[in-house]
Amino acid sequence: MSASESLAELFSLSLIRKRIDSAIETLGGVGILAAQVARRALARPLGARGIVQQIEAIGVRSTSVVVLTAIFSAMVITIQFSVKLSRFGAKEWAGNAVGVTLARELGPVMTALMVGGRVGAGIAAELGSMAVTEQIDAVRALGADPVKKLVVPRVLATLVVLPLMGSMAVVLGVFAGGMVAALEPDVHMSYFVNAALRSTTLNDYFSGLGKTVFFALNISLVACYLGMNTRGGTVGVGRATTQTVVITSVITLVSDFFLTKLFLAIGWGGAI
Amino acid sequence: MTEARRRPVSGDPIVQLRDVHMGFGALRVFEGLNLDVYPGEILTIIGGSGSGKSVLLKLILRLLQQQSGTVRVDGEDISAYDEGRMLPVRRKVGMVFQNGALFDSLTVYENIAYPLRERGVDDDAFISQRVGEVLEMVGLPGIEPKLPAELSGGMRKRVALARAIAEAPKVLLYDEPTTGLDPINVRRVSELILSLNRRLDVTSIVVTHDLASAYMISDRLAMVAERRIIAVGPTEELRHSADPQVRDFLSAMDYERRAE
Repeated sequence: MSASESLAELFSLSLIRKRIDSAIETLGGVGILAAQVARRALARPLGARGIVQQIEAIGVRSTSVVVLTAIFSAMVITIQFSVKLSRFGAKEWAGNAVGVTLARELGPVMTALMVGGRVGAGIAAELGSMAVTEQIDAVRALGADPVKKLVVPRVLATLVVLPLMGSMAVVLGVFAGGMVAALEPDVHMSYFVNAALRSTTLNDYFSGLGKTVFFALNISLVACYLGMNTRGGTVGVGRATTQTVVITSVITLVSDFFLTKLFLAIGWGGAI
Repeated sequence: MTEARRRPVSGDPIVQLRDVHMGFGALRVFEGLNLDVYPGEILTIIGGSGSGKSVLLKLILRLLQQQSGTVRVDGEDISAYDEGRMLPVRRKVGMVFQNGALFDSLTVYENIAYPLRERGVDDDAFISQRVGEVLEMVGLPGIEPKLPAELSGGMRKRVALARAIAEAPKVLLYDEPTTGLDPINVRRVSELILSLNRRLDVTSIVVTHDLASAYMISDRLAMVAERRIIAVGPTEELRHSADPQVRDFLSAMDYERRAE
């Protein structure tokens, strides 16, 4: 097949329709899974042991990437703000800007992107391997419910871990920013940190935290859905894993825009 | 193996599929499939790869659903059952999946204890005794602490078999039990299927494309082709049948085996 032909096929209507169909199918499947999780989450037995195991696994998996991302992205925006603000002689306001930016946007979104990559891919690969080796069928055949056994603990654990990670990213980011700001001759770290804490309201913090709750559902449900429905051997597992990273990232970025609008509309505008 | 040990069928069918239609999207798997399986027999379903043999087993456990037609297990029509109502039915039916489908993260002990715990048994002494018992039955005593990754292919299948019989099912389903095994293990697993069938008094439904093993263990054979069962009957009868369709089928199966 020549390059122009394959290009033509890439943009052919039937292929676009197929893509849209499969996107709608995935969304519908994730929605159904969400409803099943909601119905089973509180049903007894709670399966606390499984949930704690998942919290540990997901938390350990994501801590290092979140720490690294939070520190470096905070340091970068501190430098950028400091440079631009110093032109107006307002360098001491950098702390305020960095604090609010971290709490409302960077903390939750960066955390969700990193955790989505790390944890989402991990869940999809794990459940995907189980699906292609018929272990999920085996769970059902042995009288258990795969949604209750495998999906609910992962969703609940992500719901616990992501807001914690997001909060940790904000705190670490403020201190990392303070350290970079203190490299300037006339700025003290304590001044920067105080400014950041003073200017960031609970509204700012909760609007960021609210986002992480939504992002956690997005990451865990999409990863579980794609993992459980993996077909086609090891190739299928690879596909499910990359799809999870792409889809969760896109949903995180797009929904962040709408969530920001929503939170402003309901009055979580805070100090901006 | 002599013909004398073959069991004649009697009584009401314990598993019954009637006019089953099933497909995935545009792909039709079964169109009007009928099958009766009688208590205590070993029925082997043979067919080429991609003929839907494994799908048939999954319909009996309702891991997949037919689009029309009925499936009856031990007298119950499960065609409209949801997951909750399937629980007691699944307790009566054990399945040995193609590659074992053992849970990778659990030890052999926990794998076999899984169905017992799901049923609500939490008496550790009882579980431990039962796990030891079924491992003894499949000839693998004392391997409880091992992880599935530490076992050979043949051992994994036998552990899967131990897990399937842990709950003392009435019906055992085997999906390609001898595929991927060396000749010694093929023989060992085949003999195990035979001896467990007689010892536990279960009904065994085996899906395979391995004719030699099918001849060795089966009371009856059923042939899947053209989206239905084209012939079913006592092993020796079909093996020496004059029916051109049956002869064609068997020689095609033989050819497929040699092609491998």
